[in-house]
Amino acid sequence: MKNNNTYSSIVFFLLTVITAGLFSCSNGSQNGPTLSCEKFSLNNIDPLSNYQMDSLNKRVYLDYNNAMEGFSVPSVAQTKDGKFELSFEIKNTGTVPQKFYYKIYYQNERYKFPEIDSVSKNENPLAEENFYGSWEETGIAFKSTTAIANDDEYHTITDKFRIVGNPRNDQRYFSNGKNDRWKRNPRVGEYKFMLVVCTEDDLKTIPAEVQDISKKAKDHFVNPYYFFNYGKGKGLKNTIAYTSEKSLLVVAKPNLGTGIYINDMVFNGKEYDRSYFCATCGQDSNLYKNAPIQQFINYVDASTKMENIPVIADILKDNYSKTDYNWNKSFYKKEELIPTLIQTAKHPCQTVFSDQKENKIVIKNPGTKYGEWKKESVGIITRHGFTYGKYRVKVKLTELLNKNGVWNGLTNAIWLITQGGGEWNFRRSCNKEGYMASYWGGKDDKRVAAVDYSEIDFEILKTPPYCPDNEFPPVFKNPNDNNKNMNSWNIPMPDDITKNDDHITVACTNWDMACWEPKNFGVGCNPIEYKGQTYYTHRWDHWYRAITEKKEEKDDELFAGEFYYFEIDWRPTEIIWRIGPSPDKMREVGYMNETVTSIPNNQMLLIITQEYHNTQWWPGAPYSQDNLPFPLNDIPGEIYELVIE
Amino acid sequence: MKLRILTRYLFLFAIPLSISCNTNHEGETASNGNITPKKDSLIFTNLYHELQDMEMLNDPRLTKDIFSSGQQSHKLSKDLEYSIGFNKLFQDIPSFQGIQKITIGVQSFSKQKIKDAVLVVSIDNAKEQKNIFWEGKPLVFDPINNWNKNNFNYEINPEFIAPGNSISVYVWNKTKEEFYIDDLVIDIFGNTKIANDVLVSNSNFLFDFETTEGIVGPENIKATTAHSGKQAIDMSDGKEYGPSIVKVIKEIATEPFKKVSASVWVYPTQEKPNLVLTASSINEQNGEAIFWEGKSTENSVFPINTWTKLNASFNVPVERLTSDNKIQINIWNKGKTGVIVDDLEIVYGTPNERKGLPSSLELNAQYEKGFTPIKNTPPFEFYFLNKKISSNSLAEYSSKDNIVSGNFIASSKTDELVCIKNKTARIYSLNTNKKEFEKIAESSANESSLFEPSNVYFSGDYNSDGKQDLLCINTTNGNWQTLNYLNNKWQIGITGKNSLKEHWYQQQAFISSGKTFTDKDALTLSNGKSLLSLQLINEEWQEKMINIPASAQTVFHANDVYYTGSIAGSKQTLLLNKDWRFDLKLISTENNDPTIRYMIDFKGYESDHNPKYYEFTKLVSGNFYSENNLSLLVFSSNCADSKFDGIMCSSIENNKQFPNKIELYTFEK
Repeated sequence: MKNNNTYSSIVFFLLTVITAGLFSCSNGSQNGPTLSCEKFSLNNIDPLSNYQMDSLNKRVYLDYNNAMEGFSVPSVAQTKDGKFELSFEIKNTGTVPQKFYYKIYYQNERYKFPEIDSVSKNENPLAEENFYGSWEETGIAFKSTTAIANDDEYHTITDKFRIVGNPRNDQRYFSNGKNDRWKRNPRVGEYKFMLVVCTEDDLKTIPAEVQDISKKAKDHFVNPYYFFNYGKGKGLKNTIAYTSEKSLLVVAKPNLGTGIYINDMVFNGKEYDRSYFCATCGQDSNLYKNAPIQQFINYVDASTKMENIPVIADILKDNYSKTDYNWNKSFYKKEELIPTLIQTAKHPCQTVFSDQKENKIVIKNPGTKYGEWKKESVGIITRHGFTYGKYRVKVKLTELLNKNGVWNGLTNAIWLITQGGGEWNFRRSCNKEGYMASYWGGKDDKRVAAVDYSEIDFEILKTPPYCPDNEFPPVFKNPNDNNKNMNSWNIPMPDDITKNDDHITVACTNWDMACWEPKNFGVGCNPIEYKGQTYYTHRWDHWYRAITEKKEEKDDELFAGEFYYFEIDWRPTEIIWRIGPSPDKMREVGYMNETVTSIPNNQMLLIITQEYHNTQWWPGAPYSQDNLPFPLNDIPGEIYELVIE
Repeated sequence: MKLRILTRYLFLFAIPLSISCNTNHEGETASNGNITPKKDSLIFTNLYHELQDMEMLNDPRLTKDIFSSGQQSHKLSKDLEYSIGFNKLFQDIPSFQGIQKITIGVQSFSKQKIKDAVLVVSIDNAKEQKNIFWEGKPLVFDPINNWNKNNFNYEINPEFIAPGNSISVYVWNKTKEEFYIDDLVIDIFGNTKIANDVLVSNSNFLFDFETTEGIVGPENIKATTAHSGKQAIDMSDGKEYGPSIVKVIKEIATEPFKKVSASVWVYPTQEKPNLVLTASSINEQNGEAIFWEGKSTENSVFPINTWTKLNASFNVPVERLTSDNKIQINIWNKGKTGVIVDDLEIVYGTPNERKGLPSSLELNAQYEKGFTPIKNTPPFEFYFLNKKISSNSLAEYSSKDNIVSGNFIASSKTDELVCIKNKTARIYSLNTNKKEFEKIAESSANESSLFEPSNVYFSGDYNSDGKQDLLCINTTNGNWQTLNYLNNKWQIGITGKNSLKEHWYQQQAFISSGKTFTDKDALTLSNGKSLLSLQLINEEWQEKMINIPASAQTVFHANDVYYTGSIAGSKQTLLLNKDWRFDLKLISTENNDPTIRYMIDFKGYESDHNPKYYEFTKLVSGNFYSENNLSLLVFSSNCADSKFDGIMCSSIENNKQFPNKIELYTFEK
């Protein structure tokens, strides 16, 4: 017996060491370890016993069918009843039969703040933002087992749960008494599951805000992963909190052939032409319920007003040259110009197509003709918002430069934008003077503690880098409209521009609304290191609402091939922009973190556009939008795949 | 019958031949030193023009019974009290805030006396649907059975002008009688701002420090490591001050400008350079700085022994400067470390704004209301001519030479070229298979007197024999003769008895024909305001004035060059004006009502060698392919003359980037 006791003690010690930080009791291993404490043991814990049983790292794709009210993981199409089955075995090691109490928690691990503050060792206040949940009915705190006999036998307990939006049933996301779970959709990425089992006595010591995750303490939620793994819950003698080794990777990969929905709201209630509606683009109930994508209508403000040259040309195909550009710049009179704003679609579904066969979306900036001059931006936007995620798109957007290095005036943009909504979608408060109240105002705009505006951009166009500072702005010579001397008007661009004639600029921007809280908030060009590379952030002034990094890349590489990948990796404390020919060959082109910019934490949508910009937004741009022709032909772009993980 | 289209150099005799051969095509400085004097930024001008010619509308109120122009007019009768009119919100009129007056022209016609028909101008508050101004003036119908021109003039009180107010013009047939109106012309005048508030010339400068010209304090300029050439500013010994560039503002622009940009190449010979490129101006009376700005290398990476560029842009406080102030650009070695500097480039000011007045188009009107072109008012539609061939066989000719096209050879159905140079005329014909012009005849030495350099030549069927003749005019005395090509020789046809000299000066001439301006081939002269047709009848030129309607007054300009010809069976006229740019337009002249149809451009050319970009372009039109396929033979070249005026060039330059070209373009799609 002594030997046995010694052996048991050693095993117990080792297991305790192995599981230190995770369990208040001991464990073993089978389907998950065996875990023991004074009053009970657990075995064969499997939070996903009915799903991909043989896989340790399980993967589930968000089911976009009828998901406008929010995603459920799993969906009814993915498991028998749209629930995961939790199963574990429990052995009563006490002296009398007793009931035990259990609760399953889940938490998104990829996009979370550490639960513990590494310096103070207290709970990280930001950990309450983590996406964790339990049973949808938050009022069901811990569930009770039936009375388990102290029969030295394991008794199997099974239960069910699913991952849903707003799992804390936070009133912030309610509207008219209804829980709009879509306002806080489940995050993509890896989830871990924590089973907590305890005795009745211990249960009494677990705070209500841990048992019922909808409750707050001192006006804050308490992250149960902190409580049980680092906080007071860690010391409970008869409580086992086990985070399963099994994880679940949640991936969003909408089928782009499902269709495109048209939202009346983007047309400001005005009547519009519905003649292009079809089975895969429009407003029928099927599209309303299931289409993952909506046609995007850019906001057009007066700053896009141009007096455009009256020329219509296909810059990419017509051999349009710098000489053409220079002549047109010098030799049209004002009265010949076309006053116009950048246009957006007036005929929904005319310029966006969902291809059911190839499961892709095609967008096209429409060609124009005499009397119908226009530069019309085109694009699509997702309909389901997420917070954080690695957004990777496989696209073939239009080439931007022709063989003469002349820009066609378009900006290929892959960007995240706030889902809007006001208070429910506010960013975390900015604790140093607040945010600028609006994204369009000037420096005199008022500052507010919180805003719902956020934006993370890839904008790809012909414009020079702002950094290093000594190279900006390029010095452009002034032309003179003397047709008797070609050299007076056909002036070459500076070497700074022509040395990278075949390059476009990938501009990576985070709209932080000029929140001054980041410790290295800076103006002008400032270096930031990431994985051995130095990136230069640029901000025009202290009130400028966005911070940008730029990298010049070959237009042909990004847009002349069959496709290219663009990725925005939006994490709680950093944003990484990557591009590449395939998912396994992505390379970083932009990096920012919380030390230089406020990283948004609200829910955003993804937009892909081919849009016309006023080049006054891009100081130093070698080609002026108003001096570029109207497009002669349609300019297509194709979107093959969107993965958010 | 086909018509010939000719080009020539009308002012040939008026151009001094002693033109310098110095080229201005090298270097960085823009060559044109003409600075348009600064004018009031507000000018009084026509803000809006609209012609209602009663032709475009498919409207039952219009009739073909009678008309002043075109084929329709507007009939008012007992059933029609108010006419078709004009109505516009002020906000839709460019620069409406400056409106001062409106003038209205309208043609009226009646078969009887009309008691009470008035032309009304009315201004309404559109939002409140309330009239705030109304005035009617009687229309004139005397004499009856004639079209009578009515002109009205109304001053617009500024208090009536508000964006949401509307102005209307219409005829009120108070007594519901029968009469006609046509050609309602509305012109709204007022003040608008000329945006060209600062005109900048000679604004780009490069100082490569190979010379010290224009440089103040050139002591440090010496042969050393250089970014270009052999010299640079050598401050490798740590000298603090480099040279300066000082310019008086009025040498560069009409007024102070808002910006100066500059760049310089920096070569540090020691670590951590702090070189500052500065722009400044001082008050020369008291020596105080008016402004000073600098950009330093300090916060950027400038590696040692490497050329790195420093770009800078300086804002200039225009409100504190006059055009007599000087702008000074300095190179300041603030860090006093070793540094070499080269290739300083300075750009003063920003590009001049475009010429002209604001577009009369409403913002986005084309999307909301649809675009309705206004006759002879830009923007015009483009028509692209396609390049068919590049000619080598004509390489000995250039834009300077007399080249005429015409169907000179009886057996031929297409046009030939007559190229006259060195008192020799050669005839070329297009070989469509070889895609080249081939020489088919050449004048003999005996005929050299017919082809003097001082002559100009036109082709036309003056004797109505169905074949072209060559009209040869001596530009010095106006004497003329026609030449016929018969039996492989040029033979003198008619020798003029009366000189064309008095017609000739200050006129542009071309040959026009049936359905263009005249019923048969005629030499037509234009002074930009009127056309004078000269038809050869009984060996004498018979004069006939061709009226240019008011609506077409803007079509013609004094220096236009005309080409007429046949496209798809229809007679068309091409108008080329190169006063400011290469501006080629196709106009229709049906009913003697010149109307601009297209802006003509080119396509199919090599690289970016669009003929319109060349400094010296000569067009020769002809039906070289077929009777109805008009082509333009285009001689494109650049001129090496330092003061090339666009008309006479003494030295053709064959620019590598834009080599001289002879190409044939056609109207065929």
